[in-house]
Amino acid sequence: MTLFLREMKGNFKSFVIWTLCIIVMLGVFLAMFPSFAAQGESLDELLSGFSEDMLKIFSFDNLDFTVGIDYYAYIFQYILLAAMIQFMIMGAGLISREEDGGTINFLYAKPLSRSSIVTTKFLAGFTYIAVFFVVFTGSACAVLAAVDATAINFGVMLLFSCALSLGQLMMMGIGMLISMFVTRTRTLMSVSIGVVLLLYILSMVINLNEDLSALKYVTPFQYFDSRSILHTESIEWVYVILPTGAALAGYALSLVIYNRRDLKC
Amino acid sequence: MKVISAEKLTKNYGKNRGITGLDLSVDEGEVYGFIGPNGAGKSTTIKLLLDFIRPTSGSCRIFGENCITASADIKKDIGYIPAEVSYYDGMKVLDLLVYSSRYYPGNHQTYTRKLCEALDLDTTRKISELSTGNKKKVAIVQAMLHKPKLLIMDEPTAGLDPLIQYEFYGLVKEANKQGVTVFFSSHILSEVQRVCSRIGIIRKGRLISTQSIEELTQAQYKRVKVTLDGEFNLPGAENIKRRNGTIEFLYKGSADALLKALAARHVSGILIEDPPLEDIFMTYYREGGK
Repeated sequence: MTLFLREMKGNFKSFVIWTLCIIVMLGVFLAMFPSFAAQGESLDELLSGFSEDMLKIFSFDNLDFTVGIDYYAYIFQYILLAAMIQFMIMGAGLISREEDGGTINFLYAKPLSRSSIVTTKFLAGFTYIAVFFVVFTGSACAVLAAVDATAINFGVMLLFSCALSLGQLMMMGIGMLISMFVTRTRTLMSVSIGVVLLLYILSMVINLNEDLSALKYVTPFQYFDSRSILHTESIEWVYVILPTGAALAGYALSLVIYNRRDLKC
Repeated sequence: MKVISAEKLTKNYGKNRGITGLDLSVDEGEVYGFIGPNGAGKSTTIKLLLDFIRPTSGSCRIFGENCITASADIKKDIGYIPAEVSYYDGMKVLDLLVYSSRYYPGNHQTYTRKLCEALDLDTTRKISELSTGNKKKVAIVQAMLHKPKLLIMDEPTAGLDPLIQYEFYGLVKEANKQGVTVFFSSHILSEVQRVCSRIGIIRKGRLISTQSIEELTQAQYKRVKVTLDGEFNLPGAENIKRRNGTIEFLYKGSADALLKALAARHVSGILIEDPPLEDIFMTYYREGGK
């Protein structure tokens, strides 16, 4: 419990900053909605000038920008990107920060097993995902209600937030696993952000090229296609199981590796 | 009871040598000094004992329990002062001490306050603003506040001024009187002389000698200063220095042979004494270096 509380405290500042930024980003995007909605026709005209590929890359297709929830679905992909980077960084930092900062000399001299260090830190990250879910969903509903109250669909909003949590969970597990191999914080941050961006770009490529659709299980940006969540009002089970499994695998492998390797101190 | 025991402990870092075939044994109630030059493998040994790193081969035990599998259990009764001290940003001294004490059952407030007073440590300051010496004090207090049965210290007095060093060794001696076993590494020999009951000398990853302080200073070596005319050579004399007719050397051998050799000469001045540890160590380091 002592370590858990310490972890919550240690990650608090960066969590608050990231979460605030994401909510502000959402607010700024949604604030632009009234002008989008008002100019719906001219926007359609503008978009029809783009090639179909272009629309697919930016996910402009199949959305009605004059409806609030559709607009929310459009900006969701950017929220997802930011939220995944946030927890990739957190996951990568949980273990490595102690070694890079030299505090492991303090921590591992305490009566703690290596497994309990990994598990406690993972649980602290998990708690922050839950906190994010509550804070974000609340803020998103409030902002959307202010912009277009008629179009609010709480079920869909919750689904979007669940998608965020699943994406964050997966990134946290992968981030932790990466930190087992790359221990210098600066390199680690570049690598982990790079991985998220790579997955994002891969998702764009898959959108463009149907031959690559088999790859859709590789990148979580394909799991939570905002149009499909919006239109079907559901997330497929496979896309719940995949990210959860990936997170647990990342955690379990980290546990095994951390129990075998030399600590950098 | 053996508090620390290591058998054929070996650690290689890739191709680099860490320590090789180290046998170590520390009894309950001892103050054991682990001495060697920089890079000899002192920190490596300590990190192996505390399970920060894993041995290439061999094994070690603390309180009779395996250092790897029982690590968490063992550490309930260990206090550790690392060579390099770094702590969580933004924490005040008191925050850290309270945080540290939460890992051990019981109330440690009174003793913590006593330690801070003894070391003259201001607990209201931020750790990041402290000098190296003050950070070291924090490390000392957090390692001792739960009254461990074994103190493991890696170069504990580096960065401390002589006055605080004195206070620190006072604390160590007092803890030792109450039955605490102390294992510490150092390359400052006068430190060792002051507090240790036994020392191990490590060089290039191997333990080359284990002796009690008495054995080391008295039984073997004498420092001899003689003033006489001409040259003087004797088997067992090392470190020979000549200055203005005075010859100074470390002597290892029978007193009889020394006296008889000197008796044959015209000696105008003589001093025979126990050498400071420094001199002895220089011979150890050199012997191994050849």
